[in-house]
Order: sequence, then structure tokens, then C-alpha cells
Amino acid sequence: MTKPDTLKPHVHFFNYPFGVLLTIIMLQLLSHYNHSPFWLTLFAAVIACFGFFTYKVVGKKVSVSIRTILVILSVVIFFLYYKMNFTVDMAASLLVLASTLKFLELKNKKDVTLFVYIMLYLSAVSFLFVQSFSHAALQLLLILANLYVLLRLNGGPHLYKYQAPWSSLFKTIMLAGPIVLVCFLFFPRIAPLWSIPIKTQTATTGMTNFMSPGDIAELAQSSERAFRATFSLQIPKRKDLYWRGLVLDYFDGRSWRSSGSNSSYKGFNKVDLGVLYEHGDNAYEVMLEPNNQSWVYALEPSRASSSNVLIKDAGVFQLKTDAIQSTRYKMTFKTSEAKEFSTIPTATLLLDNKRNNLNNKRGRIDLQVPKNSNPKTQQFVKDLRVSFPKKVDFINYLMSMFSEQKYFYTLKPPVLGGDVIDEFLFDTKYGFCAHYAGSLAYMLRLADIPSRVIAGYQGGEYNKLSNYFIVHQYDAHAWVEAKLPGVGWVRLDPTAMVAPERILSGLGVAVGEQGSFLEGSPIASTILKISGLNWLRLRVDEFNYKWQKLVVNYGDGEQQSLIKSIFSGFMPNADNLLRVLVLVGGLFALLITVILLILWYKRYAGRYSKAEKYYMLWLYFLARLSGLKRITGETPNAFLLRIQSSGYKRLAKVTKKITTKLEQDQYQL
Amino acid sequence: MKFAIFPENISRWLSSKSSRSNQFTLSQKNIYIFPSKIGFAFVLLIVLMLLTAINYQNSLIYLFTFFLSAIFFISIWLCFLNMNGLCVSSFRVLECFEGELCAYAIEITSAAKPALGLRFGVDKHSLNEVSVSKDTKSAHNLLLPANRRGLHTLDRLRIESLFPFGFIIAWTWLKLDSKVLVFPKPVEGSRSQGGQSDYSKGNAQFVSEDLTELKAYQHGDSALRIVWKQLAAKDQLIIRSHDQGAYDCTWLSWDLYDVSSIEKKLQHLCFDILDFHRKQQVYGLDIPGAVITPSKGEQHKHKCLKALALFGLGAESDQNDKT
Repeated sequence: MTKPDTLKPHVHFFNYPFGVLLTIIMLQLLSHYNHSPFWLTLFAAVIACFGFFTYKVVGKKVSVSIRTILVILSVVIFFLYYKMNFTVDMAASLLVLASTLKFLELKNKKDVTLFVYIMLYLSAVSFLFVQSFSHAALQLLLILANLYVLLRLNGGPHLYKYQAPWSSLFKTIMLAGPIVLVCFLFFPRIAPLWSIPIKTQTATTGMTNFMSPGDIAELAQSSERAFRATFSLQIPKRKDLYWRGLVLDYFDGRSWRSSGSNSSYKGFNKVDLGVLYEHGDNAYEVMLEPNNQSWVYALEPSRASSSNVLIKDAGVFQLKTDAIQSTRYKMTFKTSEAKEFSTIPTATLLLDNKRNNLNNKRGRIDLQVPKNSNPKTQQFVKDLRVSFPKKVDFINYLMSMFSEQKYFYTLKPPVLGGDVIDEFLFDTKYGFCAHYAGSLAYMLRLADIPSRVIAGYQGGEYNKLSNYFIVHQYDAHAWVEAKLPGVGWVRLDPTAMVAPERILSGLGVAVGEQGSFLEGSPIASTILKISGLNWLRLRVDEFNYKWQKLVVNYGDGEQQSLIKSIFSGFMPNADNLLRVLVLVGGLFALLITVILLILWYKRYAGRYSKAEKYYMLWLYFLARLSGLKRITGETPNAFLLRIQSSGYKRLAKVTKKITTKLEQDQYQL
Repeated sequence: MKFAIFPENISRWLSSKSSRSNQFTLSQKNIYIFPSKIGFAFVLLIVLMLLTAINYQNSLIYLFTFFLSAIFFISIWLCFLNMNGLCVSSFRVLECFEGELCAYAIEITSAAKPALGLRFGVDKHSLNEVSVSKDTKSAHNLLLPANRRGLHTLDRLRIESLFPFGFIIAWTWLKLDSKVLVFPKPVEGSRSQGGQSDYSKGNAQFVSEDLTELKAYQHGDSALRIVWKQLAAKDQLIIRSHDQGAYDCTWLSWDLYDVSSIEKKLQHLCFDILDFHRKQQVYGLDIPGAVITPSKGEQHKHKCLKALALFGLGAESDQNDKT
């Protein structure tokens, strides 16, 4: 049977919301912008615009030949660019490109639906790379746009005429909210079913595991966030915040690097991440920004109290997996145990234990120095040791030398040539923390004092609004630890000697007069200067921090502690069994009441109109006030006449009004 | 839709048990609801996302997945509500000729809220899209090919909706008492000239107007018989006498046509009725079982055509229109 034309369903292919589809693609490209190569984003945007143009303006589909050429072209460029290195971001980019090409060959409703599904999956995938609140809001917008397309496909020919599609969408979202919340909080977080190595091509950010003079100065130009930290009890002073990241214990004459000798794990504490703080000790929680590295920044001396942190030698820690996503870990520490050279009483330091002095000097990594480098410094130390036979005096002299002689703290140190320490100490004398730390550690080693360079962050911006520290990349710092007999490892910060304000108030103050602070990012430095904007920045940061803590990092541990905290009060035992029963019974009764009310309302809601309800309500009051009752079968008008004749003037007036309203309602439909 | 075979069969079977009626209100008693094909694809998408969330331990992908699942579940509800409370009725009988498209009159009313993206028809493959706004009666014609004359009743009406997002399909099968009257196809045939003299009723002579017996007009007499000339001349209402077929009049009778097939005869009769009607001539119909006295006008034509349509079929033909 051939179907007559009139039986065909109303398919107006070119009336599909291509504008919305184009918007979806563009927003999706924006979502994946950070990890996609620029050519891909641009190429996809051009293809999408071209497709839109042909669909909407020309009113045709893109011809098969052009589509074939585009597909071959994109496949070739793609594989030339990525060379078959499988990474997650490559897979995501491939999906972006493929879905854009799919946009060119939409044929019918099914195709469009499939396209929408791919776009939704791309939204989900984008969370692997970015997890900020603004990104999540963008994805919510994308969900709405995708649903709108589906609504247009399934809402029939008169969607706009009879009901604004946004009201349907809004209703859906509102209803979805509670379901999403409950699922999110209580859906069991399962361990990965199979492991997919997340290899991304995204470069590591922040610290590196070697340090040449000048390296940290580059890092210090960045206003990006390294991590945030919240303290449970008292907030330490700024000058005590030495966030140790990694130990650089091998010196090759130019740069310090990590020898790897301290990589043996001592196991890790199996402490629930969800259990926030152990009682008594001060504890802190660090929310590390994704940097693709595994270093843990911790104060000295800290104990790990979350299970994702491994303990290494030399008092440093490591994450079990690289921080490809923002990572949270917790530590407990005692401020009083921190050993800072200047705070240790000289009497203790003077207990110079000679026995330890030359003990197996050769094999020790913390005394390693390269031969035949920086001869001037070697000579300088040799001479100095003669005049200061005691180690404490020697150290004291070196520290005061940095503060008393003409050494300068600068973000733009001059470029150094061959023997970097010689050049810095005796010629240029302009340096950043890496210069000072590197040369001090070198000199200490030359004097047979075990020492090492520590790279990490110092200080942090205190956000008063909700009591936490924001540590930026420009807080990157390097300092020295030396092992003193009888005392152990002690912190020495030569930068504090050269520029005490760096430690007390931060880099911005320390190099403020030079005008070189954040000169690479004018926007960030401008915001810092204007107090209103700065306040706003801190507010936004606070919000993002909460978002990260509550949503992004909500995992198994958090879920368990939430469930525990909800049910701990209600675990039935002899004491509170009655209470629990009453509570459960009460909730049950409440639920039933609500259901009955809804049923009752549904039953009677439609039966009477508003005017009728008012009329009946008035009849009830009237009976109370005057005792006059409407007789069954008496019309409202007849009743009104009876009231008017009964002498209640005021009541009659009101009754007349209400009766008129009722009549209008009944007869003027 | 392979997935839906099972619920589809159940719904057909259940609706076949129900009784025929002029009016149905859709409720949970007659609305069936099931995920559509793309709904199952959406579930697959959600599972894929959940796997991604689990394997990458990504909280936001979990959130995203739950959001989409919640939307899926809510769309079940919205899909049902969209159809719930719809009133489907049919009271008018429309007509057409055999071989044409006949229109079954269907009225869909939604009291409480607009109903969007409805599709109706007799089988799933040819459905008409329609949306119904709140509180208005929307009349629709379901066009189906009319292959045989007679009074046909709609077999079963399917109304379905994929609103809002297409994940869920809600449908209903209604044994709606919607009827259509199909007249025979008008086909020109040769009337046998011999038949002319064989006007058995004997009152089909062509008599000149002068010989007509005249009577005074009485209330209830046809206006067609008024002699207007008399009215103009004497200011008196005079009509031609009734008992004489003393004016141009043709009896269209069964034996007039020289074909053996009954259907053919009916087709020729149909053509002639339309022809006479168009020429404003007076005609009568004489077929076995139905004699319609000569007259003219729209009502008369309808009466004759109806007699042709129902010839030999009893009062009603309960045949399917699923041809």
C-alpha cells in the first residue's frame, strides 16, 4: 500500500534547531579547549559553522564528496599529530572531532538524538580534565541545551504555541534536584572495575625535581594556585609555614636534584580520609591542585593521616597516585616540634659531638659535593673553617654574612655562567631563594655538615573569610636543612636573612619596590591592588574551595563518615531504642499524613471552583455569626434575599458581594 | 521497535477485551508506558558514564550521571502526565466515496494542561502528529483509504506520545466508536433506453405543466411545488398536485443498468444520482429493499446515497479498516 502524503508524520528536517546544535558544539569545544590542540578546536569550529551554514542558509545537507574529504583530512592530520600515542586527552579530542563531523551528516530524528547523546558523553568526559564550578555550570547549561533539542524533536508541531519549552525543562530540573542529591550522597562509591592508566599530555605544573639557580624565580611569576590548606585548631604564623615538598640532595656543580635514595616507602597509615581530625593534635587538610605530580606538601614535623599519602625518608611524603585531579590529604602536626636554627638555644647547639663528625663520610649522600667545581667557594669555606672551628659559629657566620654583606633578593637574578656559586657569592650577589639555599647547602657540605636543599612553598595567603590558606605558585621557595649533632635536622633559611619580609609578609612585599612581582600577569597583579576586586577574588576562591571539598572530592571516605554521622545517633541499642522507635514512627506517621493530605486535596481540589470555595467558607462563618443557614435547595439569590430581610445589614452586604462573585463565576464562563 | 514487542502485545490484547465507546478518558487504566528504543540507548549511555565515573573515580561524572538518570526517571512521569486525563471522543459520522480517503472524526480534549507531541493513527507506522492546547476541543480527521462501501467503524485507535525527551513512549489503544459512511464509487454507466418505458410505477411520464392539477398550498407542502406564476398573478400560493408525477421526474431503478454485478450497478446508480443532483433534476430511487420517492435537494441526495452505501449490508458493517 502506498501511503498518501497526508499520512506522513510531520518531519520538517530543516526546521530542527540547528542553531542550538551549533551552540552546543561551540560550548563543547570551549569545554575541551584546555587539553585539545588549538588546530583541532579551530578546525572543528570551522566545520561546525560550515555545516550550520549549509543546513540553515542553503537548506541542503553537505554533499557526500565534501564530507568524505573532510573525514579523510581530519583522520590524517589527527594521526600525524598524535602518532598513535594513546592518551585520555587524545581519545577525548578524537571524540570531539568525530562528533563535529557527525554534525555534517544528520539525516533524521534518530541521527540528531545520537548526536545529542555523544554531546552528553563529551560533557561527562570533560570533567576528567576540568572540575571547577564554572565548568560544572557550563555543563549544566549544555545539558539544558541538549534536552531542549530532544524536546523540540519530541514535543510535536505546536511546542511553542501551547507551552514554553523552558517551563518543561525547568520543571524537570527542579524535580531532578532532590533525586540527584540523594543519589550523589548515598550511591556507593565502587573501586575501579579495571584500571585505565590516565596518561595525559598535559605538562606537569609547579615544582620540578631539580633546581638550578633561577628556576624558582620563574615559577614565582605565576599567580596560579598550588594548593589550599585548612587548619583544625590554631592557625600557625606565616613565618612557620614551610611547606616541604621534596628533598634535593644531589649537587652536580650547577643544579640540585633529587638523588632518589630516599624513595623507599615506609608504608602508610591506613586512616580513613573521611575521618577529619584526630583529637588533640593540630591537623590540617591540603587540597592540592592537579599538577600531575606525586609530591605532598607538608609542614615539619607532620604525620600522614590519610590513606592516600605514603611516607618516605627524610620526612617527606608522596601521594599514592599522581595528582591528575585535585587531591585532598590530611596531616597532623605539632608546631612546637619544628626545629628552626635561629630558635634553637645556642647551648644545645654547642654540644658538638665529634664522634659523629667524620663518620662514614664517603658514602653519605648528604655530604656529596662535585669535585673540581666552584674553586673560589671551596677555598672560601676552607679558610672560614679555620677561623670558625665550631660548626655552630661557622653556620652563624654564614647566615649573618647574607644579612650583613651586600646581598640582594630579586626576582630577576642575572644569568650565571660556569661556576654558578662562585659567580653568585663573589660577583653578582643578586639572587632568588634558590641561589641562597643552593650556595648555603654547598658551603655546609664543604664544611662536612650534612645538608640538603628543600623545595616547597613558604607562607600562603590567609583567607580570613573562612580560615584557610591559599598557597600560590609565587610562594614557591627553597631552603636548607642541616644535620647538627645532638639536635638532628635543622631548618636554615638564608632568604630570611637577606629579605626577612619575604618570610614575614610574602614575595609581593619583599620585591614590591622592584615592580617585578607578577609582571607577567598584569590582570592578577591589578586585582591584588584593588581592594574591592581582591575581596571578590577571595570570595570566589572560598566558594571554589567549598565546591572542591564538598563536591569534587566527595568520595568513599566522605560518604562513609556522612552515613556514620547520620546513623550514629540512631543505632538502636538499649538506651535509645525507644527514641529510635518514636522517631521512625513519627516519620512514618508524617509521611502517611502528607500522602493523605495530597490525596484529599487532589480529590476535592478540582470539584469546586475558587468562588464556590469562598462562598462555602462564607456560609460557614455566616452560620456562626448569625445562625442563618442556607436551606437545602435554596438558591444563593434566595438566600441573599432572606439575609437582607433578616436585618443583619453588614453581613448582608458581604453576602451580596460574595454571591455576585459566585454568579459571575458560574454564568460567565 | 523490537524492544517493545512484549508490552505492545499485552496492550493490544488488553484493549481487545475492552468495550467500544464514543468517548474515552485516558488514565492509568488504558495508558501503557515503556522505554522507547532511544530510551534504552539513553540507559546504555548512562551505564557507560557510570563506568567512566567509577573507573576514573570522578565525583563530577557521578554527579552528571545521576543528573541524567534523574531526568530519565522524571521523564517517565512527565510522559504519563502528558497523556493522562486526555478525553478522546467521536460523535460525528463523516462520509466519502469508495476509493477516496475517508476521514474518521476524532476529538481530543485536554482539560487541565496542554498535551504535546501526540501522534494518533491505526497502526504504528503512519501516525499523525498533533498537540492539544489546554481547554480547547481539537477536532481531527484520521484519514484512511476507503476501499469498500458501507458504514465502517474504526478498528482501534492508537494514540502515542514521546514527550518530553523521547526516552519513554506512552501509548493507548482505544476501541473508539468512530464511524464513517462510504458511498459507492461514482462510475458512469449506460442506462438502457428500454428501461425508460419500463418505469413500473407509472408515474414517471413527462407531462406538460399545463395539465397539472393545481391545489391550494397547505402548510407542510413542499416549496418546490409552488407555482410561482400563480403567486405573481393572483397573489395566491398554489401548488401542483402531489399524487401525480406530473413534472420532470426519473426513477433510478435497479433494472436500469445492463450489468450483472451488484457493485457495478450501485456505482452507476451513484453516478446518476450525483448527475441528477448536479442538474437539479427530480429523481427517485428504486432498489430492492429501499424505495425513495422522487424529490431533489441535498437531503434527498444523501438519503439515496446512504441507501446505496448500505445496500445488502444490514444496518452496519463491522469490518476492519485495516486494508
